[in-house]
Amino acid sequence: MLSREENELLTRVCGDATMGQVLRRYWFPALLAGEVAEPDGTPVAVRLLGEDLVAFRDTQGRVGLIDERCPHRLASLAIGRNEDCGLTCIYHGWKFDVTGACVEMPTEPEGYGFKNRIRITAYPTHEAGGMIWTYMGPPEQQPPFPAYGWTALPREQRGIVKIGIRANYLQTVEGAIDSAHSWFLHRGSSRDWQKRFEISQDHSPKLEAEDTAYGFRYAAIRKPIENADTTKYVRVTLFALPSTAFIPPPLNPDLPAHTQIFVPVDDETTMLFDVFHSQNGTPVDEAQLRRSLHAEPGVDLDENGFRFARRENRWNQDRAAMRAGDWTGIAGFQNQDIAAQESMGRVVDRTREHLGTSDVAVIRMRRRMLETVRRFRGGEPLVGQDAPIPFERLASEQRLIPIGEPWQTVGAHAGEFAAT
Amino acid sequence: MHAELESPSVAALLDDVRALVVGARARGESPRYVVLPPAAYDAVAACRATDRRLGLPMIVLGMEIVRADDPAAPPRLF
Repeated sequence: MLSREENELLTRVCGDATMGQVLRRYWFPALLAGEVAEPDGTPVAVRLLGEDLVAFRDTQGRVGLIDERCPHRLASLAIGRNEDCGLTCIYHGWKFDVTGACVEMPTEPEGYGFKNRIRITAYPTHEAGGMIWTYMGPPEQQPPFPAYGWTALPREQRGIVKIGIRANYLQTVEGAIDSAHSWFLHRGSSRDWQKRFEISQDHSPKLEAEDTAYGFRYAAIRKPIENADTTKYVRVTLFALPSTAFIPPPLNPDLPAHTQIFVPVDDETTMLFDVFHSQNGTPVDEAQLRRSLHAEPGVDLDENGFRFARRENRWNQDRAAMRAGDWTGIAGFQNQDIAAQESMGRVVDRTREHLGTSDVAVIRMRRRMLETVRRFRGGEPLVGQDAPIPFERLASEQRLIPIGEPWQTVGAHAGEFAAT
Repeated sequence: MHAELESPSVAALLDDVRALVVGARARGESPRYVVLPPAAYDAVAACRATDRRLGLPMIVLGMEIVRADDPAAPPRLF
């Protein structure tokens, strides 16, 4: 539950909304590197925080992320010509480089300096981990890039699925960190389900959260089936502000670990960058991943990356399959998540919620987000930006530990736990 | 639109009350009510119009809320 004011504050990201201004102070992915793979290739329209932009890779391989609208007559640069180190509006030939500078203005007479007094919005980009990341805040406030460990993996050890969700970013983030739902929504369809089930069938784990420099982490602590008197089964999830969740990696090390990044497109739409990264060097087959997730372009996803399954077709739910024993009647755990999140409405009214004590992660995440808003308003460093963080070492974890060992020892690769 | 926070944070209240509930249950207690200072009570009550219309008690994390007299009193369970 949130008050109406808190719900508005945390969910509204467009225009001069406070949360939008806060989110601009963090790096986040704008698009897949493969979408602008070729120098002088096709530009790509990108919408972030309600702002319409266009991404392009110029002749020298630099990636620009600039205002989609040509400032002359506001025609779209997404249909512009990409050549000779700039993007040219096809309407009247005005041309812009990756810095937003106007480098050609052929319709105006030379010598009067008009083009030197024109500039369009351009945001810095950084290519890492198969994605083009951007920072949309004030240049003087730009934080270090969060170089998560998987961003340095070879291409073949990483698979990324980008999917649009017709819901506000906050409820998609809440879905990622809400571990209790996996026992129900993903019953039988989680990649790791059987192995986890063999370790523990404790449906009421003890849940604890702990603030960290990057956000918070939380543990689900369960009684194992074997040696319950001497061991406990701990799953630790990490959350890095503003919207990155490190899901505990599968117990089978040949299966990839999973990190989810939720990028607000606007108040009512989110782009999920679902990153699967190798735990032990085993290659990640991205095509197979897409098939298993039911996220194949043209088959499951439309031209904008949104699922064909949606409210209007009840997310293609198979009621006969449900009668036959399938819990959701929806194939693919990602589909299940998205169906649940979209079914709540575009921006859910959290004044009507009745949270329980098992909703610890959702409760803590909202508090941490409000904390970073408070710091923003006070001119203080935001959560995750007040001290250097070893982002490359952040990793979630699940394992059995001795019953007397603190859960905080699990998933503490970035120095989260200090023995006293 | 700038949404400003003028009333107590319901988000923070839930986090605090959750810690109280979990702690009480760990001690073997079974609290059913949470006493809230007036401002916090009013902030929660503002979210519970539907429940009130349905004749349901106003609850937070399964605890029925009770209004304290003392505006400075921290939340407590019983």
